[in-house]
Amino acid sequence: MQDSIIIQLQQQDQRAIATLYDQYSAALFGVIMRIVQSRELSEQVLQDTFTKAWRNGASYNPEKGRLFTWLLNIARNSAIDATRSAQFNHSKKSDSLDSLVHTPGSEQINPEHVGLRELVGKLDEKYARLIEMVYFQGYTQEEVAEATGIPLGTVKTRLRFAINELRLIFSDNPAAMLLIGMMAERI
Amino acid sequence: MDVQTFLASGLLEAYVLNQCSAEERSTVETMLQKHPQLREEMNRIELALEQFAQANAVPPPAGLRDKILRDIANDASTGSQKVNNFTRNMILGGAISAAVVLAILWQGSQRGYRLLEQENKRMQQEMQDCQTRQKQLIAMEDQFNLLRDPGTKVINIAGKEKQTAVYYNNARQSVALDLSRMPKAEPGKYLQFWAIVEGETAPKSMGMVATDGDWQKFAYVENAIGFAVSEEPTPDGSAVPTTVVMAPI
Repeated sequence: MQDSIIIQLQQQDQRAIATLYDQYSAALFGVIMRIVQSRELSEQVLQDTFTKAWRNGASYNPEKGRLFTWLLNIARNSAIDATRSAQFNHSKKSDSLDSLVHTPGSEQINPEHVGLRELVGKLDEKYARLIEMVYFQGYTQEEVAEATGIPLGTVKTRLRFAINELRLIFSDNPAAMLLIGMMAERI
Repeated sequence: MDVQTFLASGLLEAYVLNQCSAEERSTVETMLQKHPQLREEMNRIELALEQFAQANAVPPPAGLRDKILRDIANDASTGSQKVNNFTRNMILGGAISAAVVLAILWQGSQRGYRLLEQENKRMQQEMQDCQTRQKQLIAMEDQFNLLRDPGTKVINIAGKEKQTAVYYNNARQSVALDLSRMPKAEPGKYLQFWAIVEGETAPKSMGMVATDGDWQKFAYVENAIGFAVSEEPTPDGSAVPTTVVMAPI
């Protein structure tokens, strides 16, 4: 399925954008909302994201990663640009980071993903926050270390651990859940 | 680096998270090329993060899908708008660069620098594409001018099956061969191009015929009255033609 979308995307076929929207808009919107923190501006950024994807479709290279990773990078950069031009300052952003990351409003929950959300809830909060900062918000590992006061080496270790844990969570393997519990104790 | 060391280094995760320096990125890309099984591993990392994003999804408002698709359809249907968008993007690109520079001065932040670097790279790529296209355009214009010049002599040459033309112009000092209608050399053989010059008994070598492209220019030779193509056993050609495969009709 990915292959045919990629070809459509590279040929500027509008159907590609419709398919990508159906598949990824909610995930991208979730990320954008976390960075931009304004619903109205987030809608604009989501629109910009798909317009950019449409215009630059030919530049997508499947060898460098999945479509979603590519789209997320576009969304994240657009969102960061938008917050900057809206003159959000850095301190305001860090402050609201805590308040936003862990308190998703009930109206925001996508029913399809409630099960997944519960699963991800099993991911230790310190790991979830790390992934949010780096993967969603584009913080460098150095910036995370600075913002959280956690040593850089620990940030790197935890990030790898967090990704491995996610892989186990999404592997549909009940034994994996046990393993996560055991490993989380050690780091 | 062997695969185990590479996996343990965490570079692949950093690559997916867009956290690599340029040097690290090229290390990862080299490793991915050498070891296809790493691609599978990368895909799994990406998939886990993708599912994490899906688990945190927020559905956008219902009308947005149609609005985006409508805008894209407009973008596609108006060709002139595309040009305008292009110009606008170029200006915008410049403006964004300037804004990013200001942001750095103001914030002194590493993040601003990274964005500037990305923006800069993108602009460089765009400039390179423009230059390549300009070169192609100049070559085409050159070819077009030679073809429509009344002073250009068209000398048809033919072999067993194919016929092509040499374009010869004294005033412009140009010799060009249409490769699109040339036969292919036998495997292990090479085509050499010759000029038959007035008052000379032996043909003069013009050089080897290119194996790709559809148009080849050669160094000008005075008083040519005909041209020929021979098939040669070596890639460097011969002093005298071995087997003539195309000659003036």
